[in-house]
Amino acid sequence: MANKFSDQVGGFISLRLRGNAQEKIINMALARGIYIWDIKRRDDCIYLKVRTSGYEAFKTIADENDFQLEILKRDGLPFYKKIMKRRMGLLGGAVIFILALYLMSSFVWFVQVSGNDKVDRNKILMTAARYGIYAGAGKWNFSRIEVEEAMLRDLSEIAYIQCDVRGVKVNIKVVEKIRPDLNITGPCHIVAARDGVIEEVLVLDGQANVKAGDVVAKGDILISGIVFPPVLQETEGVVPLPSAEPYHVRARGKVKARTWYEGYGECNRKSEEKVFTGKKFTKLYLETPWKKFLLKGKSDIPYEIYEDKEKVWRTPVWNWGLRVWKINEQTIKATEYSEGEAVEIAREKAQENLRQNIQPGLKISESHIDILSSPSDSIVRIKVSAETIEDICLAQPFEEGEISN
Amino acid sequence: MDKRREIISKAVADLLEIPGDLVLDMPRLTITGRNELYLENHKGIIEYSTVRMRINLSRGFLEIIGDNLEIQALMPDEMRVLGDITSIKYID
Repeated sequence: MANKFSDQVGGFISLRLRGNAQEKIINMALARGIYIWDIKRRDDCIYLKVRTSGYEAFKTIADENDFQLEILKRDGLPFYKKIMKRRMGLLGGAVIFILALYLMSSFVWFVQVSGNDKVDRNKILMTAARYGIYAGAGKWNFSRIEVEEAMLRDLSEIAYIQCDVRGVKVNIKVVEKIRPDLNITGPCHIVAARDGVIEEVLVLDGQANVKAGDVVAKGDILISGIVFPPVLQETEGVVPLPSAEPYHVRARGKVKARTWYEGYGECNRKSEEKVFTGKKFTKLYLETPWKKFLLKGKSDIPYEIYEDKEKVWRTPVWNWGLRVWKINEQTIKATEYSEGEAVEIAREKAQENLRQNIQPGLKISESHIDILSSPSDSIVRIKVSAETIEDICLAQPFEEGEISN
Repeated sequence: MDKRREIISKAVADLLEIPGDLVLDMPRLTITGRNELYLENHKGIIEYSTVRMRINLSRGFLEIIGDNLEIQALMPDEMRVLGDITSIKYID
């Protein structure tokens, strides 16, 4: 049986048939092999459908037998073709749209890097760009696997790399190499990490070089890794140990010392500050490789003092750009602090400075504030010193043959 | 088709176990529910109205009584009838 799809392709005509004994004409059409369908009777008419190809033959039969034949509707693809011819623009637009979509999606528009911690993102992007992955690159210009291999060769800090091309976006996933910890296995000294006064020495292995109360400078050996065996008193009957040679150990221990930190802060008693007035205005440019067009805003800036921010978007391919230039008006605001206020501000700044120097979590046992400037100065300078007790141990390996103390 | 030839054809069909609609040009009806009738090997329409339809067969004819009868498809040897069918009768 013929299906609806082939009817649509060939086109069909809805007809109304009027006359006596319509069964006769149906049988005649049947005998001639004209395919008719959807035969319905309403009152004394018969409605039926016939293919465009069979219409002429059917009409001949109807005319010969004195039937009135009336075309109600033409339907199917040939009929739509006429409509389509009238709406060529729509069809052309659809084709152009699909082509544009295809063309645009065959470029890389975004490159993302994930998984990097120590390795600079820009370095990864530059390396990728060298092998063909950059915003605006054609997808046909690079092979994913080749880029991955080349990047892995170039970036020695990276253990694994994957360039995931998802539509117009390339996601570069990297896994960094984890270097083994610098574990000291050979002999070493414990040296001072900072200047300080020794409070407490606890030796686990090695020979203590300092005692409580000693002043040490940064780099001084606190616990030596070279151990001199104690000289045994030669007693009667006991033979002294044959090895009186110094031997090397990996020195271990804890040395606590009193250390000092300083922080500095200052405050100008008279200060001039630029503040925003709230007036602003925006300039919008369209940049083409040939000319710059001002789309919005005046060409000259009506403010004396201002701060401007520029933002530029560029197409990766043809170097077109959209530049937004935001201009905020400013005025100068002079503020004057009393001495007390200035000291307070400078002290806060000094303490903030101190806090940056000190390792977090360290307990400050004593702190002291010094005003360095004289009261008549326009700038108040303040120094904050703090005293802490901390572990100043730092392992420092030495060569096996070297004897130094 | 004369009687003798028909008898021979029937005997051959029985012997070889071939369905009758292939050898003897007998009608084959497929009725789905009470709304759809599919008929093969018909010989044309004798009468068609919305309540009564008579279809010519190789021997005798078939009468379909129902409501809102319509011929959904009509081809030289097959047809599909839709409508609320109440009875189907063979008439010689």
